[in-house]
Amino acid sequence: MAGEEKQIVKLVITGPVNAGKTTMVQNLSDSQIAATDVAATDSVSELKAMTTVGLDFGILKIDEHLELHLFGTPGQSRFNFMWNILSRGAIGAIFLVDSTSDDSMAEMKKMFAYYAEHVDLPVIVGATKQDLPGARSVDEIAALLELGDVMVIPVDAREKEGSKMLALTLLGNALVEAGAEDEYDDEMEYDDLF
Amino acid sequence: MNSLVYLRRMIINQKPARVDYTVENETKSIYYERSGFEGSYDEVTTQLREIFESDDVNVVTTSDFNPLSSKRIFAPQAISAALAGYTFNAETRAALLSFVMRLPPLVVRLYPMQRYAFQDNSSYMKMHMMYQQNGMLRMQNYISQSENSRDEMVRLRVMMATYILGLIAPLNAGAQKSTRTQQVTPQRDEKKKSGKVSILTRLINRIRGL
Repeated sequence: MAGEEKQIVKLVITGPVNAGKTTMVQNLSDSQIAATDVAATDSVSELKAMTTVGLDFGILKIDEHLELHLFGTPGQSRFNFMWNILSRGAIGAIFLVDSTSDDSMAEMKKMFAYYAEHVDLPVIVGATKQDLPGARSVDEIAALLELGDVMVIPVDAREKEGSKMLALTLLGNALVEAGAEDEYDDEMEYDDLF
Repeated sequence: MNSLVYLRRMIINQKPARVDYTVENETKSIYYERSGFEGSYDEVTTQLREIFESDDVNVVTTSDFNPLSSKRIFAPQAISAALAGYTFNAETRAALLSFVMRLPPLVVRLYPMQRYAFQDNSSYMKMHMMYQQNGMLRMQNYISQSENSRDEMVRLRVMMATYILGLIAPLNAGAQKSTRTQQVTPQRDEKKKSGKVSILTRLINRIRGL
């Protein structure tokens, strides 16, 4: 059948174990997601009973010609190599980090260092569990993780509105960047505002 | 307020440049390189304020930049410093309001300005919230909803900072650009650029409706 080819873009949701990635993929998908959770065996079992070993995957149909594929990646830095595959055709990345856990921060720091060196995509960090005692503030997290200009936003990953807000902020930032890249042209007259 | 336009284009361009401007019949310059303005904190702050109000500004993109000093003030920090407590007279206010009236519907980027001591950060957060709620921002509405004259001054400073630093952009930048430069830019590149903007816009609209 003749017709326009369907376009697929990816959104990667990543971060250390137990930060809420699987929930966020569920919140932003409108189709049944494939989750590859198994019973945790190593130190992860102290945090939660099940953990993701493959990919969480969800689809959000945008319109007849566009789909957003959501990938929730395993929350351990040893899976960093997967960025090579995931970043192709990706529109951006959301990192989630558990604001109450020092282990989560340490793992996140490793993951983000790899990301900053190897991946060039718009990125945003969601700080989860901000309502729990001992949660670090977003400014503390930004300083601790040496995030530079990357925005850290408090988010409740269990709430759909929180997931939406985080995704919209990432996409809005990407849109401004795309617009700003578009607008500069040496040949243009300066009487234009943009 | 053409100086705002010049500063924005220079910062977005990210090439070494020199800003020449005239203030009280004296011509001055400030260099921009590696995302920062050359000079000490106080010097850069003073010069940026002069540039804001100068009617005679020119940006020269230069490849043979010879820095006079190793000191650089990162652009977001420099703009934050220049706008900290910046007040303006009725004439400048009128010019800024006139500038606001010319702005099209906008998208707003969230950027950690508080890390650069931007004093009006809470008002910037309000602006971003308005954008998030409506899917676009009309700067005219943001300014007109000021609670009093002091608040209006704060909001105008937020407009200046976000405009100069490229944290706001036209909602339909891709479409505008496509029409404006179709004769000088290869068609395939244009399609790719406007395609990215189109995809992002459709994703945003869909996720807003979830």
